[in-house]
Amino acid sequence: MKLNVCTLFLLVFLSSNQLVAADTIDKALHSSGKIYLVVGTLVVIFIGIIIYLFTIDKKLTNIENQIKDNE
Amino acid sequence: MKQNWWKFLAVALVLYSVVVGLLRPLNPGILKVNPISIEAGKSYDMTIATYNTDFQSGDDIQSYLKINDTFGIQSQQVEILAPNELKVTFDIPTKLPSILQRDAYSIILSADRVGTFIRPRAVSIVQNEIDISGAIAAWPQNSFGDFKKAAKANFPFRAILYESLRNLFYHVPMWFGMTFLLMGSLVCSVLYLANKNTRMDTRAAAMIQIAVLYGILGCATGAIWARGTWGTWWTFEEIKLNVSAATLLLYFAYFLLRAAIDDEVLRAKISSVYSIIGFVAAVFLLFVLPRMVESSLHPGNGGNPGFGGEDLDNTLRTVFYPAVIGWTVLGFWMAQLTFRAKFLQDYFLEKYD
Repeated sequence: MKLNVCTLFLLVFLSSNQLVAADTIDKALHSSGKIYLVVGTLVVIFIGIIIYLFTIDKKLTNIENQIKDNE
Repeated sequence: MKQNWWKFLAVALVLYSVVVGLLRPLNPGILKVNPISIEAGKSYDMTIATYNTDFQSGDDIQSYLKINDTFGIQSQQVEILAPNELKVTFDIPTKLPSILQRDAYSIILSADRVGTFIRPRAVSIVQNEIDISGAIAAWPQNSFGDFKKAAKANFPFRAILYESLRNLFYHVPMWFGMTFLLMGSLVCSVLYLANKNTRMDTRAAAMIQIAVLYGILGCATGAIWARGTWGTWWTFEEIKLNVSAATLLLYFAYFLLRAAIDDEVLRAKISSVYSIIGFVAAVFLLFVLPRMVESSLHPGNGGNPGFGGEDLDNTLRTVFYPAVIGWTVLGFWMAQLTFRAKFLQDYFLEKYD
């Protein structure tokens, strides 16, 4: 299941140029002084920090389970 | 609390760079000039679309067509069509002080409150005969008046980039943060080889983990920026994109290597050595190779050592440097949490074994 979602995401990413007409993207970008590029950048960084939070969460869960199993 | 001051510093600096980096406006600029191609010896009404201006009726606005530093003509009249649109009338003389038949000239606007701004190579003018001495005799010299100053200097207006200039505060610190984290991992790897304390190896691995995260974020944010300014998500013609991808692959291999070795001491030894060699390779890839390329779209390349002159002005520096420090320290905090969790795991593994 997880793999399927990843593959789908990859396909969407690779074909995004074809899915959304390049024209539409360019128009949207230019109409607002390209502020959406900054919004996109901040969203990506936020997602990166969230991914990090999940990995540290998983590590701590492992430790908790370890303690629980041995008590 | 006292030991945590640097974490608060990181949060404060990142917050500052996001808030000020987003809220401070851009300087005014010229978006579009119409027509862009004209002939010498005629009179033209030109419409000029501007950005971040608030022209009001009664404002004193001067506009110049700049030929070079000495020669320029002032427009006959300036009419305000909208807060961000002007109509200016230029009488172009028959002879131009230029050795080219067709040349591109700049337009300068100077207005009350708004200040002075320029669009380089805004219009191209064709002249029928080239007669420089005649033109110089006919043209007044140093015809530029006193340029008006804006009340406050803001972020520079750059054609093509526009507001996306702010990505400087979010995309570039990722790479700076990655570099500093890799330096940290180098120190830890060297310390491991000196003292053989596996905790140092764990620290190095955690720092590389966050460095790789920063590197991936740097690539992703750079792709977004490139899509909006260069018109493509990724190009293999840009040296900086290639070397950053190569650096990431280098460190992906580091984690594969670690995963492949079960023995803790052996893993620590081999990955420390790999990390040291990898750092040298990364420095070569990220800082030496890009400088050997003649020309590049990406700033900080082509013999241009890092950021200088045009790329970074003082208003940008006031946000950029805090952002770099903030994201770097935040990265070390994230790495610290990662290796502290690993220490705990190791502690309980040993205790319950």
